[in-house]
Amino acid sequence: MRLVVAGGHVIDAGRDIARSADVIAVDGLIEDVVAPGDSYDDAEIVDASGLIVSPGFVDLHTHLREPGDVAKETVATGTAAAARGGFTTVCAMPNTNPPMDAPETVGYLKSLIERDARVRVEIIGAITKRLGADELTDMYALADAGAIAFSNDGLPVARASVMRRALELASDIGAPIINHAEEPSLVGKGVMHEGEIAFGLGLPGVPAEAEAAMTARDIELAALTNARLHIPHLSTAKALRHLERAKADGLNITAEATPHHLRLTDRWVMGAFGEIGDGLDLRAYDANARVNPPLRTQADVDALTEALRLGVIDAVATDHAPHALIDKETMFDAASPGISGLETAFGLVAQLVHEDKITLGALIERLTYAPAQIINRELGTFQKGYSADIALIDMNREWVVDSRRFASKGRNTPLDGFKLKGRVVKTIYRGKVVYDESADD
Amino acid sequence: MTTAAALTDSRSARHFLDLDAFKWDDIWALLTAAREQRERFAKDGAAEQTLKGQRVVGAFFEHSTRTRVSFETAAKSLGAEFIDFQARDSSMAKGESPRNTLRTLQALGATALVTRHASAGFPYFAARCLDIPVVNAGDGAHAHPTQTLADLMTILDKHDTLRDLKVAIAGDFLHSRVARSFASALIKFGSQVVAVAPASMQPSAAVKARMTLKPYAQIQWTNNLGDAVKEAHALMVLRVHRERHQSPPALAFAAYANRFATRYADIADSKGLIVLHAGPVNEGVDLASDALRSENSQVERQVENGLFARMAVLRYVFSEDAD
Repeated sequence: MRLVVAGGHVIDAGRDIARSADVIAVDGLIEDVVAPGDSYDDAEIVDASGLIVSPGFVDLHTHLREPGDVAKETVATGTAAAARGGFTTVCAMPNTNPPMDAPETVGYLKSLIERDARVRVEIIGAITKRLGADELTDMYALADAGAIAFSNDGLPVARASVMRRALELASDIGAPIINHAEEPSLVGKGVMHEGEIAFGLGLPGVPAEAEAAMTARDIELAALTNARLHIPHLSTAKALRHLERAKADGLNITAEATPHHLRLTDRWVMGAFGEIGDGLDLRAYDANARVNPPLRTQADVDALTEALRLGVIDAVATDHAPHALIDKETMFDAASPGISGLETAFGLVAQLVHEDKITLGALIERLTYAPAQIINRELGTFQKGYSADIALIDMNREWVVDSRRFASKGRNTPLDGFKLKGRVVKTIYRGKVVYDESADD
Repeated sequence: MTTAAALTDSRSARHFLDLDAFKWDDIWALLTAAREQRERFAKDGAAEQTLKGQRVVGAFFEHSTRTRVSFETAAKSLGAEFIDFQARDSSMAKGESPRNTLRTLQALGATALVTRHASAGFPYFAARCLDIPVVNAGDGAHAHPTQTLADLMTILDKHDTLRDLKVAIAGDFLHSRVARSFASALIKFGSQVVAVAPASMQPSAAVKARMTLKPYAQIQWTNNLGDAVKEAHALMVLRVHRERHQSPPALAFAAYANRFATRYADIADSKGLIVLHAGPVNEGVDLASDALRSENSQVERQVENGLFARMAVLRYVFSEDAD
């Protein structure tokens, strides 16, 4: 079965392609990227005129919630959301119920994936049993069962000695350790970034130093063990400085940033999309703006976007964290932290291209080839024989976020009603269309 | 009086959540209404029954003596019913959500909700859940707007103006809703606010250095009480809000009492200085007994004024006057 994505502008960082071209796939695998042709026999043609043709996005950080929290999301709904966002591979975080701390549990999730997933799901194994304080999992067994990385997200590995052990194990296996870097005793009761906004709102805050201190610790331990550390959802300029130094020192450390940390600030807690008016909007204390690590200041956003441009931050990852209505329809400090982000991710970061803060080519690299390299998978580029995973993007499409139309069960986003420009309009996974915007109601 | 537009939602309920959206002349109008209420009461021994037929529900999810009794008295003095909802004894213990609790109170015929909660932002959440006016009786460390009206009235009683005064606020500012509301309002009137507290009860050095948010950016911070009260017209003393401290507590009571408690000796030289405390006072910790019982102390006057301030606020949320 031949599929040709024709007439579009192909951007493939892995093969250094940025030109008008047609992508040819056979039986679900990439065949070639060729000069635009006039016609193709015996092929399903997907018309990509006016669109950007990118490899399907790879998300290093998704919470699918299944097994256990199926009211929030399932493998089926989470991967449907991924497809809508242009993601053809997602890495499922292990903080499910039960967590991915045993090979049998990983095996169970694999069977759910086989049965229900709309796109590829890679499994991240847990660092400790029951995500607890110090009993490490059998990472070798988890890797054999299919885990491609290890994390305890959203709980930090608090004890440095445990983090050291985890890095030692992972370095043997050749997989990255992904630690949610927030020093718990500095987080305390904090529910948003500790800054002037938290002060004005009377909410307890989390200082940037909670992230910077643990990030520094993790980097030192990565150097000690020569292990691959991947820093998730980096949110502060302070932690970024440690990362910059680590990279300058030649350490094998990677990092991701989320679309919300690349665009939104702590002002979004005040409602009104971060605009400060006279007094508080009725939408103030928007629980949908509660996330760990919290939304930071404009100075942090600016530092992160520049680091993304330079590639110091290697990848964009969503930290898709769906929650049920009852988890968010409550007081800010009682709400579950997290943003349902798969379906708005590209729209949010596309604005960085519109504002000339990063080139489209670089942004696509951060969404495709770079994350694929971090998990060491043959993905994220149109190499011959690789899975035909393709995202078609309309960079000019203006749209308004409506969470009622999400495929995700999680409607929890601070972006409801927000205008975005740039959208994935079609997603192809293994040569089959898994999302087509024109089929949306 | 102009309506504070940001506090009115699309269903046209008029809320009273904090004084942030009020310009100084709107605050002045409320203060004037409160003073008129006080004069009327002094003259007639009673207030006009303008709120007959209204059912005010007091939903207090946090402890309260003054504010709760004050709102109940205010509502009843104006002819309204007051229903005292004790959250402690409610079905929230059985897992009922805050939203469903609020909706139930509304379904039971509440025509306004007065609410106090340990979570900052609760009244905003309540206003989003309901179709009736919401009045904030204190939300976490964020705001206590009716207390501020009482405190401003008390300053007015002594100094006859709110402009160009120097006001010191001593104590646990970081964790205090009284401090935030009071400081914001005073700055709007063009007065100077000096806050004195130990470091762990102020915003961090990093936050203070970069503070641009109005009006908080105009607060002057010090840890020297003498400097703060020098030539000040009023001193507001705050309770140590240990229940809101991150762990470990910002300062032990004994250490705080020794170094930071306001004593009569600290204010003896300032004849015109009035001492305010919103209560409850941790006598001996925030405020020494000699200062609390001195002639400078206006604590009981604040309580009296609070009643009339709350009457004015209840009339405000029920009023239908145009902009």
